[in-house]
Amino acid sequence: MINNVQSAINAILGSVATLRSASGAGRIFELFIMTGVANGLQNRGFEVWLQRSDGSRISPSDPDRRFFQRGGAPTGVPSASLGPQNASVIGFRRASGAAEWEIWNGIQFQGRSGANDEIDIAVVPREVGIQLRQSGGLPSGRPRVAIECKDAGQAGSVDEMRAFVARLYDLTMLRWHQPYLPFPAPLQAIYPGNFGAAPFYAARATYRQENQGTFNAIARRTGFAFGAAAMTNYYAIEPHSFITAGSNQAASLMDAVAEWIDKELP
Amino acid sequence: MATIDHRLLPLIDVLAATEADWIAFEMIEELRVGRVPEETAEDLQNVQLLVRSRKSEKRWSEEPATPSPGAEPITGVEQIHWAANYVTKRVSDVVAMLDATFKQLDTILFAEVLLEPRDTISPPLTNGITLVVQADQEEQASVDRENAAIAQTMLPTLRGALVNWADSV
Repeated sequence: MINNVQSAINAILGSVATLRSASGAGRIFELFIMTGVANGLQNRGFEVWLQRSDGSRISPSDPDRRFFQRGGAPTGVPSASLGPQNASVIGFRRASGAAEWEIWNGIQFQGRSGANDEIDIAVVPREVGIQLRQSGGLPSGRPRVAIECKDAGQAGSVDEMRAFVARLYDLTMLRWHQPYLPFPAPLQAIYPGNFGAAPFYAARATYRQENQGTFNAIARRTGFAFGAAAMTNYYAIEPHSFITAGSNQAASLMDAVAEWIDKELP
Repeated sequence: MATIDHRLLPLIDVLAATEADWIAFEMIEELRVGRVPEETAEDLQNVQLLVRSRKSEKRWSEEPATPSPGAEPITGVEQIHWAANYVTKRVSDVVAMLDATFKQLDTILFAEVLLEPRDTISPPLTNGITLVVQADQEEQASVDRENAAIAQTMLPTLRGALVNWADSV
């Protein structure tokens, strides 16, 4: 009997070798959410494209249509000169000539403390990506959309929520932080790139304003333990549970992110 | 906190032998903890709406905090059926998400074609995106939509084999 189980698992993992790696399932989970958000934007009329790590677009007629997902320990954005075989991203814009944005997966951001904080799914101005791809490096500041993806089997704990709050806290750059940071005034919410005096990209006055002016969520394949949602409203973090293919909760998450982007991003 | 039933060992052996030991680790951890009481879907949805409304609920309550109810252990033969169901669902979920991801990637890829004038479209497009996931030691594992489809077809076999095994224990 157990031999039949072994044969079936071997056949499945033989087809999807990614699942032989301990982190393979988690990466598929992140990519499922990332591409789901991108599809949500397409449905709202955004132009969306797949982009290689050298900045070039993947076209349907290209012989090489590989989409790379980050490998190994999380890193920053690789230099375009390293070629197209590092982590791919998804780009989008509302219309031709409009501001362009990128959806990243598993990129480390540098916090105010100097520590690196990985954000599983981040939406940043494309200008940040263009600047970083010139020589590679880590973005500083906070993405406009930050989603923590949890593929873990156990229900999410309040400590998991605390860890995400702490990460966002470290990434938040407020106006009064400017004297302590290596950036000229007026301070922006994210670097590199120069967004002029555009208020949307400017550092805000309080954590509360920054929390409420960005979209933040924890997306879990399973549920949240009783009590885990207690601090979510105060820190403006949306808890989303039971994110799996075809679930209403997954559709609701993708729609919430796309709606926020449609409503808030310039 | 439950102890692991020895009758689970053959399944754990199989997961290790097929390089799916990560499922075994997850399964053991969940069994060790038991069934944890969870936030309800309604409560989570309420929080989502509150966050979007940018309104604050009162932060401090004079009511004493409700103690978190304890976990319910999973013991004995129930562990066997729970584990069979866990492996089935875990593998099914990830394969379904992979399949959905390919559909979503291809929707993005081929949408560009629709934006181009009809006469610039290349010859029939039969193949979509190949996904390359880099593993921890920088090894790369490639998977395409056909691989995901093959895995999908094997799911009923896995489900049946696990049910038969659990019933035979």
